[in-house]
Amino acid sequence: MLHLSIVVPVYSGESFLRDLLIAVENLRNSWIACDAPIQLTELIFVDDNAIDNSAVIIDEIATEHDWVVALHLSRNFGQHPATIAGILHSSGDWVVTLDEDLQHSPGNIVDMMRSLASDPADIVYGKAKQSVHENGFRDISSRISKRFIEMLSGNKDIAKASSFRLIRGVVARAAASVCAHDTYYDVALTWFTQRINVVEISMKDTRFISSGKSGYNLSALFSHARRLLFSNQIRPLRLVGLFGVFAVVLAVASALWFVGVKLIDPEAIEAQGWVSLFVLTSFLGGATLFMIGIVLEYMSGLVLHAHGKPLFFTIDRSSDLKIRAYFSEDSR
Amino acid sequence: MLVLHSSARSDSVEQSHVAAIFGAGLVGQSIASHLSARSSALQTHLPFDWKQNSSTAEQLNIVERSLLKLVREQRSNTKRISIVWSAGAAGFSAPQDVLDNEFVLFERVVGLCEALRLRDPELELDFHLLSSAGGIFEGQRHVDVATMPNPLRPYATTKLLQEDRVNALGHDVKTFIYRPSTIYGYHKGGRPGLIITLIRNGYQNRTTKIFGSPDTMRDFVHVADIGRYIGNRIISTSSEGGTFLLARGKPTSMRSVISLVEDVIGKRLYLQYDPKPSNSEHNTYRPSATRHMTNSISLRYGIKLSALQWFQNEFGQAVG
Repeated sequence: MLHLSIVVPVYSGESFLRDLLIAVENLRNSWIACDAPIQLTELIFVDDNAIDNSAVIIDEIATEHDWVVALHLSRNFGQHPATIAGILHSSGDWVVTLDEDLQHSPGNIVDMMRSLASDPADIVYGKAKQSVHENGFRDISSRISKRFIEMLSGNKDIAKASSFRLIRGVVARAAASVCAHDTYYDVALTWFTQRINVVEISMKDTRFISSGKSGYNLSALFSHARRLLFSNQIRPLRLVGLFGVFAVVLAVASALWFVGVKLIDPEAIEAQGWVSLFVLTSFLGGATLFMIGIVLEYMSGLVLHAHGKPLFFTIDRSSDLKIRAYFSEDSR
Repeated sequence: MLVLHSSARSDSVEQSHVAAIFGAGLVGQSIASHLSARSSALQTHLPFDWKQNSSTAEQLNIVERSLLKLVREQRSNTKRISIVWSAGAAGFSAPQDVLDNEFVLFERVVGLCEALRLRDPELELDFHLLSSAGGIFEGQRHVDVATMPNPLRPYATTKLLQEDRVNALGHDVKTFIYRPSTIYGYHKGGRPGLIITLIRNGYQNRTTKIFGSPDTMRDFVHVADIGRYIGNRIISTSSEGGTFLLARGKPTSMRSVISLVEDVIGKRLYLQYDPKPSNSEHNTYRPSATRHMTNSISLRYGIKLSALQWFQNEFGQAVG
């Protein structure tokens, strides 16, 4: 039998947690009733120093249900670190991460499983079919920033990322174990697999729509974008080196041009010493940048090592046959 | 074997208490350390040669007389003897014949308990058995108090037989059965487990062969936590007997353990993975079943502690 773990980071979910539990329990019971080859064996709530009564509620739920785990972080660390903490306490063959506020319906986990049946993968992201926040500016800016990061980082899978994930357990935990302070979890996941599906599902951020309040302010969003970019590590470093090379080439080309002009038409350049000063400054500046680029290239190796990007990662996908057989049946 | 003797006064009652620990290995030593620290017990080593099968009965007779003498030395209202079986030269993969020999010895120690009861009906007796959750629940996840064991190896079957034998001791002997998950820690001269092997080989630039897979999950619990838990049950006069799961409720993969060890010792480990691992099943425990294991040592700190102890023993100097 395969095991599914669900991880839910909690920050201000007191209005939603009981309903979320009911939805998860319904899924769990339905799989038990159908004798599914995968069972929902644990639900892990991670209290990220919640600002409301969520911590008490998750403790109550954990006392009432032995398959529910309540984890309390010592202070607020953020959604990604809380998710990582929960994943590192999980033991499922598959792990689902979802938000506390029922924006992600546990019932959609079945759709994500079905996508595995038709298109085997290690990660399935749940993506909104329509506008999540019912706020054009918010939704468009989210899409634009993801595309920008994708372009800058060269990581095409970044645009697929969302906090509603179904991840193969070994991949989830391996990626979680290598994450450092500034590592974006979804970037870390791409170090271990390229088999990523996306499933379109209905999603609404009812909390934002009703209250206009989001869990994220502008600075938090910028922080997200910064971590997303720098988790892709070495591209920004290489850009500096490339700029240095460009500056050196520009310096040499300029030198040839201005020397040529001086030889052919000495009167064209009136200022004495300007050519030599320009050539020297641009050449030395470019050379300095180029040498910095070489140093950064060496540093990028250290960065990769520090960030825990693996040289290789072995995987066993033999258990997928059971999932494919069960979830590909029309009756389900 | 180790014998600890203490006398204490509790509720106007003088109690003379002797704890006889059969098995002075990793867990036995930890229990003894805790007992010595908590109860100011005097510790004695009694020679007991396991290999001499033919003289075991005679040795046990000597032990029986020594224990009775110790517990009667003090003028006290109550006399109590705790027998602890933490022995086990046979490991996880031991063949049946080795386990059968060990069971014979175990039976004799249980027989010692019964003999003590016959000698002195007023003695308070308790028997503490170190079983193995990792063995009897091999391959099972989300284990809790209601989970039924599913032994896959002779080692696990033998442990269950030991549990049955202890449970059959009768109501006049309080029985405590401890089922620890994966114990780790440093013990000089003992069989090193995975973590000590990684630490040792890491410092010595040797390759470690991993018999599980990198993603295999276990619940690691430091031997000091085991010693503290069992020690407290031995010391307490009001503990109720029963079966106790000793785990932290926190699954950890081999990969994470390796990463932690590398972090602690500051060196990369040289590893070789068995392409057909024989011990790669996950074994995890529900936190709801491990709430009684309070303030347990974190894996990172436990690895640091083990590395420090190994280093001190190896090089005989304090490390900053």
